Amino acid sequence: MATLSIEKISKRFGNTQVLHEINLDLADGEFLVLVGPSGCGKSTLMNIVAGLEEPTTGKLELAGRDITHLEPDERDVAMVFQSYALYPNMTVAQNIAFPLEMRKVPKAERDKAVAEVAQMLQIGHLLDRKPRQLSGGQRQRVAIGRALARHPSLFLFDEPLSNLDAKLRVDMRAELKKLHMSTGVTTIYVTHDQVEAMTLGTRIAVLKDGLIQQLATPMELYNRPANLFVAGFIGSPAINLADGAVDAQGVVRMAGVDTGVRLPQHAGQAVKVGVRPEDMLVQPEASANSLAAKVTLVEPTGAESYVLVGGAFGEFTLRSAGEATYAPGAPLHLGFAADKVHVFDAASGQRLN
Amino acid sequence: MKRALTPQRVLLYLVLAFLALVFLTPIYVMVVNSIKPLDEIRAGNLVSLPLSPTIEPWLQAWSKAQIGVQPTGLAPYFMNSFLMVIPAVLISTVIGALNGYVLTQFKVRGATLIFGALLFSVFIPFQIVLIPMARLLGELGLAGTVGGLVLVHTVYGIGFGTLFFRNFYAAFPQELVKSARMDGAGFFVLFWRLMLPNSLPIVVVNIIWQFTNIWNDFLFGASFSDFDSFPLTVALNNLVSSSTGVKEYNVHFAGAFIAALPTLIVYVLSGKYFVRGLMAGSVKG
Repeated sequence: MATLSIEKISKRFGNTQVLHEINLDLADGEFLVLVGPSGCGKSTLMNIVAGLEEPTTGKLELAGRDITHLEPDERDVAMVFQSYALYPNMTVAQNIAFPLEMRKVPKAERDKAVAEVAQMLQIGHLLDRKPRQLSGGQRQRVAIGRALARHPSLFLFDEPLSNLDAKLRVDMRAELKKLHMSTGVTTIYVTHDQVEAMTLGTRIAVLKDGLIQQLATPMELYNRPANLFVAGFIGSPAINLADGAVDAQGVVRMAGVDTGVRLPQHAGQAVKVGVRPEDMLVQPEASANSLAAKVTLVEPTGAESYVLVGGAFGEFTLRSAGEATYAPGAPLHLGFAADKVHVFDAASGQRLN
Repeated sequence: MKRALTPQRVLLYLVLAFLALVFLTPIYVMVVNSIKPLDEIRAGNLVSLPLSPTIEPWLQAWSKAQIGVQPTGLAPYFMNSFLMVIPAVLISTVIGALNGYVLTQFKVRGATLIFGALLFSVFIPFQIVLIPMARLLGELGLAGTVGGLVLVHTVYGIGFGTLFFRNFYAAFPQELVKSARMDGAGFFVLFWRLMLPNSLPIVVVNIIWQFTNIWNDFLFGASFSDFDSFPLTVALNNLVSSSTGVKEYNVHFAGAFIAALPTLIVYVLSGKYFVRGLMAGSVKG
């Protein structure tokens, strides 16, 4: 149980600035997800917290203790790696006991901790096996068990689910969330998968080019993305974006149509207008506030269908419940509520409304 | 699918059979003649099978032939070779593995240069170091002893050992090392508990390589040993090239076979790992 504070951490490799003065504060028991495209610096940040890399500048504090320059094993931090990093020459039980053994925990206590973890993760029948005799999901459990066994103050997960197949990934995701709810250990979780980020995190930090683009709760991130990058990164299918402009009266127009948003302080500015696929509504008749579109194709997924439409605005995706019965080429009128419209500065990408 | 027996394939098999014959003939000749009485060899036919096979030449070569002052056979020198090979192989393997571990897993200033220098040592011809080494062994009081030979071969083995292990450890999964560091494994614990137990293929390659080289070495053995510390290769030479008395070819064949046997056994037992390990080192390194 601990709070973590990351203060002005930056990292430079030669002339490349990988992280720019990152500030993050984790409350006790928080599950923070670091998400971003590859090369955004999320893994570097995690390695710095783990102690596997030295920051160029900045300070780390865990439970009030300065850990910036401590060795990885002195930090009271446990990590689960993407490849699971199970020691191939040791059995599952030995793997789980290894960090305890290194901390000179007596044998009897180690055995007890192993049994406890095995019970919690239902891997009791695997204890005598070697890692190569385990399936991907089982290895994942053992890796989590090894991290759990030593009761760390902070858990680090480095893309732990990306080597699993799609079905197992969904199961493990739910288990991780349950596990966090029952243990309550402060956690940082790195992923490039925005669905994992949304489902797991109590808060999400979106990283790009070594900068935090936005730090917020999942729903806040989804409903009020701070900039174009976050808007495009979070959400599947992706948010619909089109070029627009704010006219002299401050009316935000997309493809000439009034979106209902008023931004008089930005009159005359070029903007990008975004509407989420589920906020695009098909209207029975054309109106002053609707966009004319033609159906390009329909993608049924079962519970819902994605309708791709084209028009003066470019190409949009609509989310429609159940089966969509549109024929390709059919004309549609699209409307949306003004409070579901996201307006970004075309040049800087920052949110305007 | 069964392949048709085309003329090309027939030719291929003929060539392969011929090559196999070329490689196997010397062994055949050695074995056949080592179990013949001497007069059968003198009668002139080296290739024929023995008319009255005997193991007497082997017993002669092993325990009775005159090599040093006493008619001891090759047995004591066989022991010398083992006393030289086993420590030299083990020590040079451990040092090579440690070097590879340090050079790949830690940021060592000038690592490339150090590795280059160690690599260079592999290419230094034996003859160049003979005189300085003789001097050094003299200073250390190891001249003419098995211990001296162990030192020489260990030093020579480090270059190759480092090369093998560095290439193997360069492809060692980084996350395993990171994980062990976070779990609290220090320098030596990480090495003994994680790196070494997971490097069986390259350990086997290195052991075979060093064993063969050191066992078969003649030059260092002839230069740095005495009557009582000769390795087997030198003793064999003394047996074969002694200029007095009758040339007992059957005993010579048996002696040569005894000298070759340990390396042969090592290859047969671990040849599988040898090929696999060489691949692992070269492809991924």
